[in-house]
Amino acid sequence: MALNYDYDESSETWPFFLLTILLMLLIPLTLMQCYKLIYSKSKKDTRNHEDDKYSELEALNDIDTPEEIIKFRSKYTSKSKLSCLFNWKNLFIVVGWAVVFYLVQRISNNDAIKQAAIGIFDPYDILGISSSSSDKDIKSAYRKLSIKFHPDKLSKDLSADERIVMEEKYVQITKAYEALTDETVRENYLKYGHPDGPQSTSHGIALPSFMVEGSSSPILIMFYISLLGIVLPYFVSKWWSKTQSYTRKGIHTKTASYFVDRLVNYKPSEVVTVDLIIKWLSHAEEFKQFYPSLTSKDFEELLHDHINRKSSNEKGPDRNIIKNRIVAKCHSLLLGLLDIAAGFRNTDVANVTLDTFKCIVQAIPSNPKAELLQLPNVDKEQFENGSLDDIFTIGKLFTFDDERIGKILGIKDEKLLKRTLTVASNIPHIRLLKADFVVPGETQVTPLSTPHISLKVLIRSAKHKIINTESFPESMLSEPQDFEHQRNPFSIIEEQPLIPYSYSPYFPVKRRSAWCCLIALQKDNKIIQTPAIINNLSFHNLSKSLDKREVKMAGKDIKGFIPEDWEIGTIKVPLGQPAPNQEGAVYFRIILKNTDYFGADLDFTMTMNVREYSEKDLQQMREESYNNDDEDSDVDESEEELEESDDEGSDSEYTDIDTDTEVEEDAVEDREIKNNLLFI
Amino acid sequence: MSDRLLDIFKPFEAILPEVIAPQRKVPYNQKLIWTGVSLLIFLILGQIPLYGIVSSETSDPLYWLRAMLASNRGTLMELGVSPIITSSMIFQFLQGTQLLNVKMDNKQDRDLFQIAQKVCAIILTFGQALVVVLTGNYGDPKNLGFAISLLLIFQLMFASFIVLLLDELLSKGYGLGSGISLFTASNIAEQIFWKAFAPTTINTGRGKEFEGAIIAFFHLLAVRKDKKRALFEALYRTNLPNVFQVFATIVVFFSVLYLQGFRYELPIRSTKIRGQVGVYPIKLFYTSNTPIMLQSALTSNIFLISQMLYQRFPHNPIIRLLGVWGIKPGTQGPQMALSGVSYYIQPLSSLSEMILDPIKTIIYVTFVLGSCAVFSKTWIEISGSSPKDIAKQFKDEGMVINGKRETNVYRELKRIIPTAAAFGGATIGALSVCSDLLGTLGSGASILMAATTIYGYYELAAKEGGFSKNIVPGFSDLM
Repeated sequence: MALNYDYDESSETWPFFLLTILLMLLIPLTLMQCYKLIYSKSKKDTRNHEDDKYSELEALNDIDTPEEIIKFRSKYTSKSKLSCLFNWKNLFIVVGWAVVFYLVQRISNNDAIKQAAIGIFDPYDILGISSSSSDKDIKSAYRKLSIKFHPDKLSKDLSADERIVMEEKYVQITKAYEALTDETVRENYLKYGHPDGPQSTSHGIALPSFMVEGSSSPILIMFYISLLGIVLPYFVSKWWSKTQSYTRKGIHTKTASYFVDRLVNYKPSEVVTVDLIIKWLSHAEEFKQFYPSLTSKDFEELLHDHINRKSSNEKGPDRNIIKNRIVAKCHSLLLGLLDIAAGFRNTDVANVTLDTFKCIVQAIPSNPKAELLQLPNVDKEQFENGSLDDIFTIGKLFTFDDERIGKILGIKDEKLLKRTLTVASNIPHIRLLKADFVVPGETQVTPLSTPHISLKVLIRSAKHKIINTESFPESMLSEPQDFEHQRNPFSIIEEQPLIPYSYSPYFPVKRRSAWCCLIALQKDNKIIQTPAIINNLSFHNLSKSLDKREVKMAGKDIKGFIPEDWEIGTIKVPLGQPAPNQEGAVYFRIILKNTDYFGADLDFTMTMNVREYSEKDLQQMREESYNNDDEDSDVDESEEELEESDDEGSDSEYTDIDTDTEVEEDAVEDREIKNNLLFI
Repeated sequence: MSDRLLDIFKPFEAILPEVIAPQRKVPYNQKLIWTGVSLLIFLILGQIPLYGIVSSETSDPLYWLRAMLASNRGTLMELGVSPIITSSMIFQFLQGTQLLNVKMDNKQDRDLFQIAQKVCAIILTFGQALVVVLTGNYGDPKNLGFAISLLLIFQLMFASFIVLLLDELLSKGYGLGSGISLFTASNIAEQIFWKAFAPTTINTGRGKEFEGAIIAFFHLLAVRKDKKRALFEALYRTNLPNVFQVFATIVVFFSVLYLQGFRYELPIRSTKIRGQVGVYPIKLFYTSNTPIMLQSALTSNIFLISQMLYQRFPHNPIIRLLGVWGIKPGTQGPQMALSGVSYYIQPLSSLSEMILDPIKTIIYVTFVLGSCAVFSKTWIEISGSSPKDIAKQFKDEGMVINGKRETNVYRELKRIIPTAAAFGGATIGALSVCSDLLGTLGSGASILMAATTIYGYYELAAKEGGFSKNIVPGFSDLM
């Protein structure tokens, strides 16, 4: 270790230090930004391509979107695109490269560096030859120079000073020659950089001298203090308060505590309505942060204006923009409220929260006929007063011919009617084909096992003829039973495509819908776990034409129906708790609700039959496992279906039991960590 | 007998400060803060010079251990984490060999075990501090005077105690991972970064040269007239860290990361809770970096003893057989073994040496690989991760291997674990030899250690959800 460090007096070295550090940061960052720029472009292309299949509904959505919403969207998206180009990162890159060029300029103009380079002993330079010269070249170069500079050969009329310089030069030439030819001198040169052996060494530090001079030291100290005492704590505390002030669901803690407070004080006698939920929403802290001048009363009014599709501009300037902003924010708030309601096990509030979700997304007040009102171009007055029949669902609507539908909905223009029908037939309806409690690797639900719910559903259009479970071959309803699937039974969900963009022209942001799965116990009708959200399901079936007004039945079979062309969706929901300790049946109520569309819900009962293996089962399993021991192969449990019933017509009652094979792995992973820390 | 041994430590329970385990699970962000603050305190301790030192310019006998023990010469961190490591190794050994009977499921016993470890660490700290001060590391104790010597010992003990508490804080669930591995890894990483980016310069008559390899690369290229020779020098200079070493370090680091992923996944399922299906991974690096640590501890002890004996009795044939020491001709460097057993187990310093002395190469490589494999196999017995222990653990937790009978668990584990341990030990030995040959920044063992620790942190963070963002499809900032 050196005791004394020389500071960089002539700016020889510190620019290099700064240059290297800058380049180390700039090069990866620049590459990353370039990659991102190229990648995001190509990604956009593929997305469009992928969504082509579903673009019919999306295109209609774009047509029906009001002018104002389009303006709102473009305002916020274009802003984000601009900020994509002019953000801190790019600013840093630009400034960084500018500094790099300045430094390079400075280095190349710095005489001190050139001066220092002259002082270095370089035999090739002294002899005036290139470093790849052969021995012969070296010798001839030395000869030539030594003739010129040899003390004996110098002309007499040189002054004493000049003579000394020449003699010095001759010594240098001789040294250089030796350094290249003589073994020991060469060794010395290579090792210590000088033919005479080790020179005195000096240590330096690449800090410009002005940084350590007395006059600048107070500034430096101030800089350190501000860095350690102000800047660092400021950023840490900012990051900290940010992570602390939002819950994991992304809603503000104050909003969350308000919701909790409402639920604590919730009286069972109280009727939960969409209006009540909207009232709760209007107290959200997020809204206040956006627009501190408005009160929760104003927000409530704005939300009501939204669901009644009324303009709010007469109430004040820019009210429509404010409305759109807070409506967009409702997405996170409602999901947060749903979570909190589930935590309080309150089925009613959770249910109505999801209804409110639909109301806000479709901008329709809560109404028994909402399923039809969500369609575009519907003349509300004529629809509600005109027809005598009570039509509440799209399914019922599709039992009439097109002309009649036009009359019922009050749509006169044929083009508009066609559009409305396209939307109606593209709104997903969900039909349960099979529902099981599945314990991975087991054939039945045993006490204290960890089952999950596995649902096989058919996404269909309301105009499709109803297809029964029996119409599909067994193989389409089952899943592979290998170990990988047992280990992660939920992986199969990820393989399904994302749910496409919804038809929601009045919602300020383009959105994808999702299904929320609430699980309640039948005996007390209380939710038992946080709702699962399903984002992946194929809507491929909606483009099929199996119009129930046209297809013909051939006995029990539907003409023109090929099961293999249809896609069966899988929904899997993990259960938060293990199966009960005792044998017996437990009844669950499963509520599957769409966040965006009216009429795309399921509400049914499932029975979990908990029982131990009987002697006979165990006998059979033992035999199986003996066989497996010998063959060393995976266990393929045969699926056993105990009971299945399907209620024709309505989807609301459904009972089913079954068992299968699959996982959870946390407990196991823990052990792995223990192994990692072995050394300590 | 053994129970009484633990009971000796009972009175300390009331005196020693203890970190109270968190009541609830600490959230990830909070853990991040605790870990960051602890690391900051540790790094600051490593920069504060000891008060009262006259000089610290004597030769450094512990140089080869500094990086691994996270110690910094002449600072409060003079002892680094060595007392803690030594104490926990002693107790792990005692427990593994059943010399100390601890029932880990008994809270009382567990607490006592921890206290015993702590007391042992404090005693070791005192001993080491005493040795360091009395051997004249900071100047002759006579010149220092009694008061200053005492003050030095007190400073060292105080700093070590803080580190002890920091480690306890982190490992009790406030932080991520264990404190010791964090401190060690950050110390090694710090040294590697220093060697790559050090802003200090040295002038030995060839002009100023940067110590940091990468800065030197740019500097040499810019300053020297002959760019070809400048590039060559930046890549291969021997007097200071060079760019080739930086590359070698990166290569070794990533190959460790790559090999970390090698594992045999044993499909298992729970018999207690049906439906729990998972895998029990048996890693290639089953014993992590322990074998290389033990191997380097062994060789350095042999060197130390051999060197000492040789200085005393340079003509004794048996001692000469153990090792003949001296300065290698043509270098000014440290003392090296010139012949004898020590010569053959001394790390190869360069590729040319490897080719010039093939017998040494063969013996050295065989020795390192073999000893690492043996240490690895022994370590699983000592540390309680042998097939028998794991089988018992499986049984306690109601786990069976999928498709196998319960009685077969031991047989299956016995087939895999020792093989994995031995092979993994040999692999890590081979990596260490390679990195010594390539000449990485810092010793091979320390880079392996840093890489495994960093990978461990990555896994831990991934498990705690540090990288997952809740991305909802079609989600926009407005929502």
